[in-house]
Amino acid sequence: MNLWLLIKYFTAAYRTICKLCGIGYLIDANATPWGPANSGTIATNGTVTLGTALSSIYSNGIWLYFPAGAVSAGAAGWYWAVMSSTTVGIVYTSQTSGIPVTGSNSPYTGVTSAITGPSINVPGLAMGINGTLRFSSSYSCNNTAGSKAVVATFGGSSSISISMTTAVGGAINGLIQNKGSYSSQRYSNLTTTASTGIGGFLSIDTMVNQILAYRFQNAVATDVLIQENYFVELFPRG
Amino acid sequence: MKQVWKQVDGAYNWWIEFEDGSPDILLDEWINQHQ
Repeated sequence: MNLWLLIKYFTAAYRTICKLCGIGYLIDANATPWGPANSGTIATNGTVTLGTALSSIYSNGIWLYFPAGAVSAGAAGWYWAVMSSTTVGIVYTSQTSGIPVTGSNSPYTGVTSAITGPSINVPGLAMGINGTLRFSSSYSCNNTAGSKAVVATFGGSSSISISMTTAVGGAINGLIQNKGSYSSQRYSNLTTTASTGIGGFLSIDTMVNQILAYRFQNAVATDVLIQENYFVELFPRG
Repeated sequence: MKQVWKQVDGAYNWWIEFEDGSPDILLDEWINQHQ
């Protein structure tokens, strides 16, 4: 038996024991920051200059979402950047390459469509018919009139959301619980301040793998929205 | 289906891969279709 199969069988057995005993466990956690890059320019040598200062100097790195063409011949999507100030940093071809991208050297406009940041797999059957997902994440943004919105989606459907304007930070703390069925859920917001989506219902089939994904959307291209961290736990219950 | 983090044309994005061989789709597009 190869190592991969052994790990797979062990993980399945562990999930079954957790479901029988009601033991919660961590699905995923990460404190790497993510967010749409506000309007700026990536120079030919890979140096990005943002038009609006971020809340911190992300010198350990940050995933920034750039529109198509910000990087020379580059698609829209996430690029790894290491910042040396709140506005200036180097964009790299990957998180580990150490090789700067070739920027277009032309001003780009920050993306204002909804974009998906961290995406977490919830294994099929793992929740059980009364199991619960508990998830937390926190955000930094700038004080403007523009909406900086985050939605936690499950199985493609929106659950808890938050929209910040003048607040320079916020959080999503929520539960998604199966309601005696693998395909019926209640979601509830544990943080109601400055939030919308206090609670609601979903009909997602959790007998198969599903995706918990955080989506970000700035109304204004020059605004700042950064997810600082996330933490997702599963409390199975048959 | 499963989500996969992969680099296409320089940019990293989440993509959806389907077991039935259907073409991969950006997770963003897949979620937009479900909204």
